[in-house]
Amino acid sequence: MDTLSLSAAECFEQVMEFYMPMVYRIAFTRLANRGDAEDVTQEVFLRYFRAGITYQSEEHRKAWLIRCAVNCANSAAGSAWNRHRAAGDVLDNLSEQNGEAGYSDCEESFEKTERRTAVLNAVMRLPDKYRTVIHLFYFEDMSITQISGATGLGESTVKSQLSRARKLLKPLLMEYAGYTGEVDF
Amino acid sequence: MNFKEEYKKSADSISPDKEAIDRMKAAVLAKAAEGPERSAAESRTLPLKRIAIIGGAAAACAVITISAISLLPSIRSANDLVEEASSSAVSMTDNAISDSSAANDGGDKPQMACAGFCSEESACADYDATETDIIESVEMAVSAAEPFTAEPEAAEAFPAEPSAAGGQVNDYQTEQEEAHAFTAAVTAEIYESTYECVDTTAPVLPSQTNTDAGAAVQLPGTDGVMTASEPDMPDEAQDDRKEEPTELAETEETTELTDDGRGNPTVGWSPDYVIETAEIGETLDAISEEATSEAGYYETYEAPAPTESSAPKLVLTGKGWLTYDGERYNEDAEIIPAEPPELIVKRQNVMDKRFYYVNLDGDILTLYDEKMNFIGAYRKR
Repeated sequence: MDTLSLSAAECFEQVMEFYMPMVYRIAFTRLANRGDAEDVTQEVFLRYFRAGITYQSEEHRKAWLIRCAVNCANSAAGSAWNRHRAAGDVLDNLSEQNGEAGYSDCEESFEKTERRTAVLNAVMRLPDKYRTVIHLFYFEDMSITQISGATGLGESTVKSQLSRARKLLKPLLMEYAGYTGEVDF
Repeated sequence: MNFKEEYKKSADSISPDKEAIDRMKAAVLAKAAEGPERSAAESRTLPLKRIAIIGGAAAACAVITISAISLLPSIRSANDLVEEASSSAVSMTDNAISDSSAANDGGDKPQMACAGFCSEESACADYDATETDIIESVEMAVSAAEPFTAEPEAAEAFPAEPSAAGGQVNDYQTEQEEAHAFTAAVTAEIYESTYECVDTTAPVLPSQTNTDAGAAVQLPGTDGVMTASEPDMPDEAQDDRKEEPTELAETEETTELTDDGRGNPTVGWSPDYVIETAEIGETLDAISEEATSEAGYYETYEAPAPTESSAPKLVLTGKGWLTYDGERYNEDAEIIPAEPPELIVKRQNVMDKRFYYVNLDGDILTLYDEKMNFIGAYRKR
């Protein structure tokens, strides 16, 4: 498969256009950096293209892409560059990202924007292994079984990680957004 | 607050925009168009260690080969030099030997020259035949001897007497005679040459060829019988040989009787001793007296007292046991001797070289110091 056929290229572009935001969000949730998230996204789709697997269904394709994105993000997070990068860099990237998001919604509702930014900041303050599970569970609407299959972790591990992530999120949400009421997870 | 809804809304905001998606798509397509990723085998790093080992071995082999190639000519030249030197030395030795043999034993004594240097062909001044020449001459002799065996038959067929054939000599007879003469000459030559060369290898030459012997003399009453005389020896050597028997005879006479006619008590003594004593001026009486005193001394000889080395060894270990005369004795505190006995032996300790008094009573050994103070009692183990 040295060159991409036209039909395959069209199919590949459609797949990329459809699943690229999902892969990018997973990578960003894990790495908290735009550039790294883009690199991981490209690597995932390049692998998808080179694998040439015939998928039985879209769920199968989606599961493969999520699994590949998690693995690539973990590999990138474990690289020497990311391991020795200062934590302040991550926070700066987050602040920049949150600022852009805030500007986009600023005109409609400053309060909503502040709340969403606070939620995202709180999630990003979680440990790395919890962020992926939270994202897959709450954003991708994946079940514990699906998350277990996508990340390679056991179901009980996924459950415990979700439970601990929720416990950690409560004080973080109160700290960033000033929530005083109950948080419905 | 519903965290799920709030998180979905906040996560939507981190989705890449259209430009980012297009950029990533272009990059992916470009990478995909470049072709397949290099396989792991192709992208594997070079095995530097293996390359270093193989390269080092190859370099070592090359160095050895080059050095061997460069050294071979010099080795060969050195070998040639050695061979030349040895051959020249051999030739010089041969020349020297031949010259010396020719100078000393040449002329009328060729056999001695061969006797001394039988292995060297060049040493034979009068004979230059090599081994191959000898073999060839022997073969010729054998082939020439064949007509000898056939001679009687030929003689029967052809009478040897010229008169039998009417005074005419036929060609066959002439050839036979010539062959006979030639064979005899060759055989004589071969015998002579082989005798010279073979006989010279013998370590002892016959007395007839020993030219060192004196001139042959004719004994009176033997007609024509020549015997070899005594070899000429220096006068000094002859004097030495002649003096010894005379001196011994005189010694035997003196040992039989003394001056006053009595029997010599020193009969049976070695003549050397007599000669030695006579040389220092002692008389026979003095000698006999000395011999008698020596005999008395040996008759009354008593065995010497045991030396320190033959005495029983006392080894005090200081650890509750000792060894005496090779036996081990363990200290026994229950034994309390009354007084030091009279018969007590003084021994030196091997360890500290001090003297102790030892009393051995059966299996019990009591030990006292030099001031007869009781040290301890020991029982044989």
